[in-house]
Amino acid sequence: MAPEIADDRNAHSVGSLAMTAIAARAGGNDVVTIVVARDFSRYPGGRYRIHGENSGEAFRDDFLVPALATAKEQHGRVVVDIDGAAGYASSFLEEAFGGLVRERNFTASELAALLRIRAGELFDSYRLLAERYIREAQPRARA
Amino acid sequence: MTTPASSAAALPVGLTVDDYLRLLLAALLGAAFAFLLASMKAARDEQRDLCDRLGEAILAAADLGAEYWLAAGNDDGIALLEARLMGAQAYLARYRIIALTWLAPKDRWAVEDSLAELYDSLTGGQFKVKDRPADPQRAEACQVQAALTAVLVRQGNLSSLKVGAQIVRSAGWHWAHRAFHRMFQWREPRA
Repeated sequence: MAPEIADDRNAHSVGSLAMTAIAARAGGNDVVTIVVARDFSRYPGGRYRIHGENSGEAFRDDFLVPALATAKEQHGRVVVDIDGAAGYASSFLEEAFGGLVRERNFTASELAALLRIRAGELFDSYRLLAERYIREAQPRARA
Repeated sequence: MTTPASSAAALPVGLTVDDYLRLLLAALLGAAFAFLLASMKAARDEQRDLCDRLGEAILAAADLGAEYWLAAGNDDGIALLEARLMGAQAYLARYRIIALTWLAPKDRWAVEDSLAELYDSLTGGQFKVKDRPADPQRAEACQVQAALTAVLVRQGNLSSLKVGAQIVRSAGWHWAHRAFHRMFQWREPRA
């Protein structure tokens, strides 16, 4: 099935409002489903916000972190569907997923229970990569 | 009324109908076998060709990656290199599906894992960061990881050339291929 792709203009700025709508669409134990191409951007890229509006940092902080908080509250799970995007720079994936451990104090085992990355055949390598970034990330030492 | 004996008498070179049927059957079996062998060879050549092209694409992406990472983030033409790298990565992501179809799952996942590592070398780190310095270490990583991945593709292809795998492939029995591996409950490796 072809992934649904939405017009992504300004999608990065919707933040928690977008999360409310996305959460409402999810069902079962998956309390939030985020389709990157539909809900965030079809052209994700860049690590930090200063590198572009569709950066990994923006995706992590505006979408993933609020979704994970909701999922934690409701003892559910966040599903991130990475299909349908034009492609992913590894730096985007590292900042978005590895950054959860490094910058937002999630642990890899916590994310194993809270987060599922879904990908079809086409994006399976990116899924492997995102999962590897979560496993290998180290929390940043706080001063 | 025509009896078998009378019809046999009418045939040239003293062969009976049974003899002709036997010859026909042998010819048919020979033709079927030749067809199967030709199909196997065609499938094998096609698979080899696909894997060769994937290997070439991997090495070409690595060349782009090395060129990109040996330049500083604010050098001229860097935006073009970034775009070409993203394109090369997207090409690999799509082309690998065709090229790796007939690899055994364990070989396929080894390639997938190595490709993921290659993506990390190509577009990870400070990709698209404007004020980054040249990164020779990452340029080297692109080349090394690409070489490893290309070899894994070749190895997986060689394993897929076993007779059983070729018969299944040339006959188009995708379902049998999948069922065979499902029987062994093969799972994607987890670190």
